[in-house]
Amino acid sequence: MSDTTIYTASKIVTMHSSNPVATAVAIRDGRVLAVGSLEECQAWGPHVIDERYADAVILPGFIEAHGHTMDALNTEKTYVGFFDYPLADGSTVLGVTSTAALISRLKEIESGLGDDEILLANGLDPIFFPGEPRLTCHDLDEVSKTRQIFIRHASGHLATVNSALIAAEGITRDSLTPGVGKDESGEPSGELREPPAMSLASRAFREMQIRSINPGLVRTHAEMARNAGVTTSTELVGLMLLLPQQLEAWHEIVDAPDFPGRMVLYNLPSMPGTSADYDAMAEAFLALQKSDTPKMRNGGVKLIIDGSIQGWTAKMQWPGYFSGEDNAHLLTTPEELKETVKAFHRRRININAHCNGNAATEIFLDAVEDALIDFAWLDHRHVVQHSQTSTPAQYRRMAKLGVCANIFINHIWYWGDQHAAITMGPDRVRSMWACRTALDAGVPISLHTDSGVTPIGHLMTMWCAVNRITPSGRVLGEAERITPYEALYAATLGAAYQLHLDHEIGSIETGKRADFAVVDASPLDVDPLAICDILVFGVVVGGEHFEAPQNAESGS
Amino acid sequence: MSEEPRDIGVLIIGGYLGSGKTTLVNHILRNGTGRETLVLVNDFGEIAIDVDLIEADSDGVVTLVNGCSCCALSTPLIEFLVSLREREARPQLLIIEASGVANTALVASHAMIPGFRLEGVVTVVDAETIGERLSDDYVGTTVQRQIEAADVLIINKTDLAGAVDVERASELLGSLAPGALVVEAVNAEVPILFLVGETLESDLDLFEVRKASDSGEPHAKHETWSWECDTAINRSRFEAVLESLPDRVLRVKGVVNFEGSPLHRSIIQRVGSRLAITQGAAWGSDQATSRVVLIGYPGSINPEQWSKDFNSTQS
Repeated sequence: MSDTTIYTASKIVTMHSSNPVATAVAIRDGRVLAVGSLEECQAWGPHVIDERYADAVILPGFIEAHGHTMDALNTEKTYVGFFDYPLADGSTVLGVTSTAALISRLKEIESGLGDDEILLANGLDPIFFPGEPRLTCHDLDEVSKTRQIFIRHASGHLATVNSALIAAEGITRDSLTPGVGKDESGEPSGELREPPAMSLASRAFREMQIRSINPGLVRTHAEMARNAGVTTSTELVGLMLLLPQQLEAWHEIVDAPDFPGRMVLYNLPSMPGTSADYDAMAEAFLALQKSDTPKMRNGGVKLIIDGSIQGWTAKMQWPGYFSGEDNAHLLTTPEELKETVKAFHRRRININAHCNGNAATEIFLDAVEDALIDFAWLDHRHVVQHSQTSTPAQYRRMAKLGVCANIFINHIWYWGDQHAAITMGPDRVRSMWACRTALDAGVPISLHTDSGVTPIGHLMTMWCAVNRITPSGRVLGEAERITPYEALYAATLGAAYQLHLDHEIGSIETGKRADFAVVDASPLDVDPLAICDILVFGVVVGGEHFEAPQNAESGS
Repeated sequence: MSEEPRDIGVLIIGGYLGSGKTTLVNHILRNGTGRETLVLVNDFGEIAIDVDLIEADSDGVVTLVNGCSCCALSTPLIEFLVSLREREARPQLLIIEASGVANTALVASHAMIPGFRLEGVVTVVDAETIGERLSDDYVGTTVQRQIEAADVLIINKTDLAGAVDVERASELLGSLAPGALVVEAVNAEVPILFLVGETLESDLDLFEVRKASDSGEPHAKHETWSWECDTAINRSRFEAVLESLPDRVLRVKGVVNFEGSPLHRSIIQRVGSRLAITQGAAWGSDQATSRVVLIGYPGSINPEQWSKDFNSTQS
């Protein structure tokens, strides 16, 4: 007979509707044995009582159903984004809010580098410096005239480099590669747009590649997740099905007993923008799934259908963007998408489709409808990922088709003002991230951070969904607010449902894995505006305890 | 010969799903290009290679007896290109089959990094459906961009489409891409030297043959004109003459003896407005005769003026 441990808490919010609140939970073999009062738990036989969480609140572990391990690339030596970014060790890198602040941050980073290192920073987002002139090599030359500097912008489509890099890489006024920015006199300005031009910075490019394919990133990612109370996270651009050679490395790291969470991978069946033999890829996926363990699984496939809204590359239905040049294009033909979806759907493989623009949502729903007529797998739970601009009609359709939405709600805080002013327009922005519409239509939703794009952590997604406030203080779409309970459901069971894991995780319920977030207050009890100020003490994963560093705070 | 490794020529093949891109790739693979060629296919499943053409098939690369090999992309394109140019054994020509929705201009910009030389962008359109595609809500702008980016446009499946459709397609393409060479085809069968080619003297002969056959057709789509000379040519004057040619001249190919580089042939290649001059084989004991062939829309040829212009380039 295995050991039973009973944990007491000031409150346990279970998200199990028959038994919503408790004060004790019994764990045996890493699973929840009993939930209720201490006496009720004690009734299950021999046990020890552990009071380490007696003054804390226990919630089901948060589940991030659209994360990326590239958030681990954000460190105090690399991150130059606008918003503060919390790191794995519990510290926070402050955002850079002006060109002057950028330069002083870079100087700080530069002084800590070895002689041979290049300065490779990322996350710069000049959309937040609207009055300032574009960054050039001359600005960066203030930081160093000898060390190569390469600043990758948040969009990933643009870099700014310094004169030392320009000289070392032989980039000149005669460089023919499209995307090499030139100033009025025809000399390179330091801007390199799109990958071909960015590749001219060959050393930085290679270095970036090496850093980003390191499977060790997942460990740092999971530590960031732990600090935010997330017990299951995802890599939404997991392994290429063509060449899944990193799978073993991932298992080795994630399956280790000291790895503080669970990971679910969604694999790309082909490079975005190319096609493949999808039947063969679907078979390859099924083979990959055979290696699944309770801590690391292959959840399904990820399809990328369009681009981003703030990059004007998401495909919008009429009338398109409010301002700016519409560079939208689909990464797949609607016809091909239908065949792709069918290949996976027929084999009962869950499909997550990146749809930022509502035209992308539409063609995905068309494809799912066709696939359902072709093969009646009703419990597919395919997901419209991001779903930033899906329309009420599309949510009604999703409900009928059994499609879920994972809504990129953090945009409200991170780019909400910009969407109102630039991309969507002051009126239409209210209908973005339409959580209320989705729930009223009966669509299962979850919320996500797209970790790396915004910091992992559901206190922030919940805060955004419940309050819908931007940095300028504007409320974007009051009518689309949801309740704290609905937001917590989306962050736990809602996400578990989309991952086809709601029978295992997402609530504190007998038989489920003992995955908890340990916090100082329930988001259901605090002032909605204070949800993001809740403190995370750590997580429990399968009954194992992982403390967040003392100085860790969640939210902003 | 210990020369600098030569740039890899790149041909991009674009076109919407079903236009006949893959048929064109198959056509190229079957016939070869006269150069060591690597074809980067979009989807291996669609590639039909005669078994007796296959020399080897390993590590995802199929090698054919005619000097072509073929593989699919498994990394971002830019990473593939960067690693390709570092290889010991590099192809002379890389053909990239873009996806049906690719922004071909963006794909083409990949071929403008060091180590590569863009030879052209070919866009295949289906004669029957092109009008419909262009007005499609989802993919209309994509298809339009593919056409605008093209140096060579192939109106494919003319056997299945009616004459009216073909005529209409031709008009649409003419208005969207006035500088491109438009070729009509069945099963994407077009002379390969039309699409690619460092000009070989044999190419020039084939151009002449085409000239003869074209002139016999009632609705000749193109006219050609050629010029020959045995004295060395002044390069800057020659480039100035090419610069002065009207837009309706679509393609220039040539082998030239420039006074500054008397030992080797200089290869002239102009598709649309893109001019490339590269070093060809040594003249050796051959007579160093310069030959240039121009191809343009009917009425674009101006023999008197051009003879005068080109003659003035002699040093």
